[in-house]
Amino acid sequence: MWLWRKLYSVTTNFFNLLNIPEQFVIDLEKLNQHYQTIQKEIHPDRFASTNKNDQLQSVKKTAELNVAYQTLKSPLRRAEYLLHIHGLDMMHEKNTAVSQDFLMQQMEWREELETHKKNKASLEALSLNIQKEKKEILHLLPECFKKKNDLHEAIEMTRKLNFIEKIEQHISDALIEIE
Amino acid sequence: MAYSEKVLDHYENPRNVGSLDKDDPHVGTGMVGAPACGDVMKLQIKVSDDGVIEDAKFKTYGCGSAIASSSLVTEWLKGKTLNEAAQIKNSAIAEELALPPVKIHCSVLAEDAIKAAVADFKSKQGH
Repeated sequence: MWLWRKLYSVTTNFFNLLNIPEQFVIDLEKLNQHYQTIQKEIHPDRFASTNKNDQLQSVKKTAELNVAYQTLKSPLRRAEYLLHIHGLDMMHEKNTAVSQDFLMQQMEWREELETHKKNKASLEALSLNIQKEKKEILHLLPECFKKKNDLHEAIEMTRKLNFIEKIEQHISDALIEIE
Repeated sequence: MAYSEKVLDHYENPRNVGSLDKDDPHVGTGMVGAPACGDVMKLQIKVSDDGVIEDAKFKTYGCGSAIASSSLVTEWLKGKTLNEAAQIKNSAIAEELALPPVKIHCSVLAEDAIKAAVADFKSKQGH
């Protein structure tokens, strides 16, 4: 489970913190620049000679900044976080609705992975297939997030993305196992 | 996290793993997924003409608790009527397997899978 969930109580908005407009499509270069600038400003090294409280604050702020940065950098986490800001927790355990076709596809991919888990070429071919689907979703997500009053498509896409990143992880684990 | 003995038993010796013919009119298929963890679960039931579940199979890609939950319900489903099957609650699954709170969603997934399989069977029968 991604770390920002543990920071639910934090009132800081990650977009504000990094001075990035609160939307799904972001300028990654700007994100990197802002991150580095702020990181330098609040780095604990700068507070080495000041009082304990300032040092502690600096460590806390740096940790928060890192979580904010990692969250916004990844499209999946950024999407989850945006939904969270809108009061939508797509990870709610009682909510398992995903389209049947998509789940069927997931099942097939999982079966393929299981059958070919020792075959590098097959795994790479599977990975390529999944990449295509992922690209498609990432292409559609910005439009889904524009409909601020109806984010159900954004939720569905984000869920799909989560399934896809999960199987990607399994494939990469299997590939490491081979090598 | 420590798994309970029952979870481990089902995980190491899963019951009724496999597939039934999803195009068979007597077979209902339930596909569910947990967005929170990326688990996918397929549960299939084969229903006799008098409405009793005579076979159940599952295929689950997920954690030990998800596998155990689906394995357990395939055992429970056999011999039940559709109505009885639809009454299986996730709390009963969680209790039987002594699932910790963070794994309750696995039992929810299994309950949803039963409902989906029953619904699929009924829609095939034109109800």
